[in-house]
Amino acid sequence: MKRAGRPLFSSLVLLLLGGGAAQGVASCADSEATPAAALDAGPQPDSATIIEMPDAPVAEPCSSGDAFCAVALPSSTPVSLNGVWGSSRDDVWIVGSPDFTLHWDGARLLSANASTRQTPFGIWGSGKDDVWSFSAGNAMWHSTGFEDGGDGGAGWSFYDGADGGGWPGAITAMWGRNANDVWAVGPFVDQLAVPTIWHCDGWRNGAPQWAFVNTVDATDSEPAHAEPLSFNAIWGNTNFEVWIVGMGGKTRYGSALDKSPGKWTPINSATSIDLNAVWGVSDGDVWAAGAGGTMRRFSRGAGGTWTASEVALPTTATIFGLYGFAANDIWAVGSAGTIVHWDGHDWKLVTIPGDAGAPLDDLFAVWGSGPADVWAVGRNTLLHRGNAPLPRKSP
Amino acid sequence: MKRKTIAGAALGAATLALAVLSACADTISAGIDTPPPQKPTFADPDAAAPIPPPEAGLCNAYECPAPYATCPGTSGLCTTNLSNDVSHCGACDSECPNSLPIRQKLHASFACAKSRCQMLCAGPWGDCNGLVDDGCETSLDDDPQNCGLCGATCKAGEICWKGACGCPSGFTQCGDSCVQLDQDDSNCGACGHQCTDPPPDAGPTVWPCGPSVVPPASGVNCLAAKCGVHCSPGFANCNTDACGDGCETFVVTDHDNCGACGNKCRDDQACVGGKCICDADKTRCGGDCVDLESDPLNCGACGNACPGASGDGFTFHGSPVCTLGRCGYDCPPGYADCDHRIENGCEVDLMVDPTHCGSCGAQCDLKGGQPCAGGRCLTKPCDAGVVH
Repeated sequence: MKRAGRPLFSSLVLLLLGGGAAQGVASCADSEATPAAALDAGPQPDSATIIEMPDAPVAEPCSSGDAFCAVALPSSTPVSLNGVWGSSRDDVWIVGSPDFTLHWDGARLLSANASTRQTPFGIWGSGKDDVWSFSAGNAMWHSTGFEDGGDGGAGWSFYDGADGGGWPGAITAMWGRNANDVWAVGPFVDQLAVPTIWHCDGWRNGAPQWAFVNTVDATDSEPAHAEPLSFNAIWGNTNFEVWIVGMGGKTRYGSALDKSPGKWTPINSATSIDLNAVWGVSDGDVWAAGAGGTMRRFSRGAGGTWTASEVALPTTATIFGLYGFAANDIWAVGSAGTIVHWDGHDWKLVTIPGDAGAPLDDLFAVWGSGPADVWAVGRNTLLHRGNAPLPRKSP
Repeated sequence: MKRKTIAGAALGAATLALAVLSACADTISAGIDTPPPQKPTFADPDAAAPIPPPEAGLCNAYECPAPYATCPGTSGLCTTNLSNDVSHCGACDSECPNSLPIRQKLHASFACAKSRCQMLCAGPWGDCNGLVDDGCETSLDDDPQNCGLCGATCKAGEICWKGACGCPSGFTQCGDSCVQLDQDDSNCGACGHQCTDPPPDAGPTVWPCGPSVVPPASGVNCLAAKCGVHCSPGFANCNTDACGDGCETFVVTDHDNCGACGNKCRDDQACVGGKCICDADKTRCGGDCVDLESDPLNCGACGNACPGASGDGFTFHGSPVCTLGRCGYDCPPGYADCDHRIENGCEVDLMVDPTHCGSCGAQCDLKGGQPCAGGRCLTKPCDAGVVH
């Protein structure tokens, strides 16, 4: 069966729904499209392959409505999908290791690579033509848009921080207000002892010009300096505010960042457990989550001070990713296939598809273009909630 | 297995069960032995008979089951396994001798197995006389009477070299050691034949570049079992200008002449120790060839060491792992990281911790002092024990 299945994915085209075919199957989705319907969807470059392999598992559409659907990956080779981001529902990027880039354009799921052995640890972009991927080492990649052409297509250009004298270490997360206001955070390494919060004004002339950020103001006895802290996640808003969380529950709040320097405030997260993810509603309702089912909600008091409150999760799984669309529509994903959803009142566990009897793999990131288009990625796992005509993973 | 056996025995006690069962019910539910929720199939009218809860008839127990004991100075109840604890071997405070002076003197360390201290010989040492008081007294490396193994005797006149009788192929016995006559400056061509500077008038065969002329990176040494002017170890004459720049190439690290003249490494390889590294499926990080997908010291990128310490298996458990180029932390079987703090690793012994018995947060009857043994809160048949 494996042999028969391979030709189905022998090209970059994973979902055999090119051109007008996509429309045909998408319209069939609600009426339980059958394999025959997919085959009949129209002329496609790879359709002959399917016919030659009558026992090949024909990918059913993954349109799943409110439930998460497991999307077929291009091969059975183990892969860790580490990050997901998109500019819209028709421009979704997923990166992972070993060397794996996946792109969804609304009709086709195409795979590509960055020709690297380093781990692409995550992905972020300010828009369709400004996409960044970062690594566990010095490497960064930038794309001005996924290219559907024949060269394998992600359009990644490579930047080595060690060569350029710029970024000196690993990046765990990025966020930006726009293409010219980009932030990155990373782990603190004793031997390097370099700052772990960085800012740049965009990808210019093939490289970002990073500058490290001091979070402690100068005093009479000490100049302004960075702190020796490891950070795992960053989120900000258009009000020039940024939240950064990390190891040991460390939380930093940057405000007035349109000024130089901005103002940085340590926030008591009321936990010393590692925090791995942060996301907020634009008006200042900010969530952070981490190891052992730790979930914190930061609220701004009348005096402008922030306080953290503990919010119970129905799991002790470690949370790795947070994303939301509104104060009552937030998603968190984590270890052992955990997905929880905040409806404004409670965090509720969400069931996801999995192989019978097998433990679920960890989920590392979640993103969506809107409440009806949510992606969750992890080790050997790609999940989607919505009605996009994605190829469903065979049970 | 133990759980099933106990349950079976309790059920075997038959009909006196029911009254006791109801008395036990609350106690049972306090431990981790709570029967799993009954599924709807329980009421299946086609079923031959209702299946009794597997743990029916069991009550909490508070005495340590063998081989566990509560030893002074240890935390928790029944946390010491007398069968394998070197500090409490067979009995509390019965310690196996493992101090450094003793280990050095006896060439041995001691482990506790089956409740008895067992001597383990270190390295090449053996306990050939069976006496514990002199420990592992025999060096199996070079004793012709005990060569590699107690009682393994070499032939008359044959030496024991590195734990094997005689010299391996390519080596010749010279006195008490095995040497390579073709390249040993002290035994060149024959035992005891030492290479020394020949006289200046020895001729061009001995001095190819002129009387007493030693080109760069060359010397008088043994090569092909003959003393003469040859390249110094690690160097080679790759440009055939022996009397000019001598042995100009250091083949130990030369990318284009790695190990030998003309042996060029691939562009993505390095020459280390005269060998081209790394294989195509490995990445070179400094002088090492690593798999970035699985090396915890170079996870996803050279130098990206996964956080957390590696356990010693005794006082600290757990180790960083790299899975598909992404860091994680693994606990050995029986241990767990219940506090989610990587600094203390997998700090919980699920086998004996009554606050995390079998899994994080699974509590035994702490107030009553119910031990956790083998990852289960201790129970016994109700009719034989205390009912709470």
